[in-house]
Amino acid sequence: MTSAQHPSAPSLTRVGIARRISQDFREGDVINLGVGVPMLCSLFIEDEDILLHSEHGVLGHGRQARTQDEVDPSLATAGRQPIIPRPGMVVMDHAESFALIRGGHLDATILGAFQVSAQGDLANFWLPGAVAGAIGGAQDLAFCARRVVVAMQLLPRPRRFVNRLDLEMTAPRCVDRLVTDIGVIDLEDGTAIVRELVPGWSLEDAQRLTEVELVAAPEGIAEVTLKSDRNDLWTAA
Amino acid sequence: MINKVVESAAKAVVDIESGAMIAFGGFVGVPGVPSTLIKAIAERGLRDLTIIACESGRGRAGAQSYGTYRGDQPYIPEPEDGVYPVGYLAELGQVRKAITTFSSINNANADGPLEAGVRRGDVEIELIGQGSLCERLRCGRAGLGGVYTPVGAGTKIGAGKDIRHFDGVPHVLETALRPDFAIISAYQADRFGNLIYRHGARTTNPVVAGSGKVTIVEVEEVVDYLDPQHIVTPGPYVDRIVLSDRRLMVR
Repeated sequence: MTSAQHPSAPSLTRVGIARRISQDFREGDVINLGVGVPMLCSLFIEDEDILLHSEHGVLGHGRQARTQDEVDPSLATAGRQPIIPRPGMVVMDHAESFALIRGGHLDATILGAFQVSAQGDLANFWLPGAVAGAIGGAQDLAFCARRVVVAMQLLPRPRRFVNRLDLEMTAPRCVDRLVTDIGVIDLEDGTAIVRELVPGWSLEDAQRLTEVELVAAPEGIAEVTLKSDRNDLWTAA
Repeated sequence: MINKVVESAAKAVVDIESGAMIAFGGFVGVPGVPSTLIKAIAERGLRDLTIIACESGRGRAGAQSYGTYRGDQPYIPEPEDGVYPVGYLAELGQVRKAITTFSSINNANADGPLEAGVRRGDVEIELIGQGSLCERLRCGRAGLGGVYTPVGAGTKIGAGKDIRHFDGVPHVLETALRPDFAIISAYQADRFGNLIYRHGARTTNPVVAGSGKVTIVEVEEVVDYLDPQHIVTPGPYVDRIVLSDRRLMVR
């Protein structure tokens, strides 16, 4: 991280990044949420018919349980948050769940990442210096979901959006969109196109956070807007 | 009269020997772990096991950290103290090889039991994605030699495996797994070994069922009758049934 980061503008918090990601969901979408920031997207899905998929075999569950009375010990997300059932929910075994993934029946997967390259290569299962890894369902999801969106904090983390991966690759050329704490970047044929920036950030400010050459969207760069009045979406300026 | 119910977990696992290959159902962090049977296997004091499991990175010492990711959640129950994860066997030094999707605890500052074993030089890990692991087990159950999947081509996971192109897309050959034993958990069984599962506790259990030469299931209840239309695992895949120790049960 350089001292050249923007001195005064706010940025999105983890919850704010999740809010922005969830605004891309459309009714009827089947969406898998990875562990970490992606799971926070479920905070913003209440009554819409967006079918959340948990890879251990639950599809179309309701919101998270809020009290102990609501907790069914056998019903949780893959990240172990207890959830409540809702009409239309399906439970299935792992093989069926991954047939759904591998067969291209997921509209999108939202994943965390250690690194993403400008070409859309994803690294998220093998930490530097580790002797073992944790790949889970990420590889099937990254290879086979119709759309791969990565939630990424650029500000405090150096070398996350890079020209070439340093880390073991989960899947090549799979990432379609990065939703970051300072804006939204689409990856198209090796070009990083900035679609949205947080108010107060310029393309030049954003460029200082990554070695990848950033290009303004041809239609111009829009401001990130969040459709929620929660007070934990933005960092203080 | 067919009756696959065995009186205790210890009796159900009495013929598992050192060097065996064992597949486990369950998925740590969510319900469905065959904790009673894992404890009974651990008590046999075996060596050189090959374990196949979705998650085997954490031992019992790490049990309290399962799912500690709290994010913005209003309520997350603590895991029950009694839970015995598959990684417990590695923690006891009984494992020589693990075929698994989570072999690490993904913590740059600490090692899980498998990671510690690799650093000692006496544990080997074959890391693979969940979908591919499930298909390898499903092939074992279904009598298939293997399956070509696009997942893993061009990565460390696909390295050294046979590649064929289908519609121009590289696919990796993932070969069948046919373990000696399959260890699973379910909600209810009848005496034939037909099984149904609770919600998310279904997870890998029906996939692992029948993959082994011998399949052993722990259940919450044995009942006289299950609706044939609701049975998930047919009885012929199951050899032995024991009741879960409720103190150890992760529903």
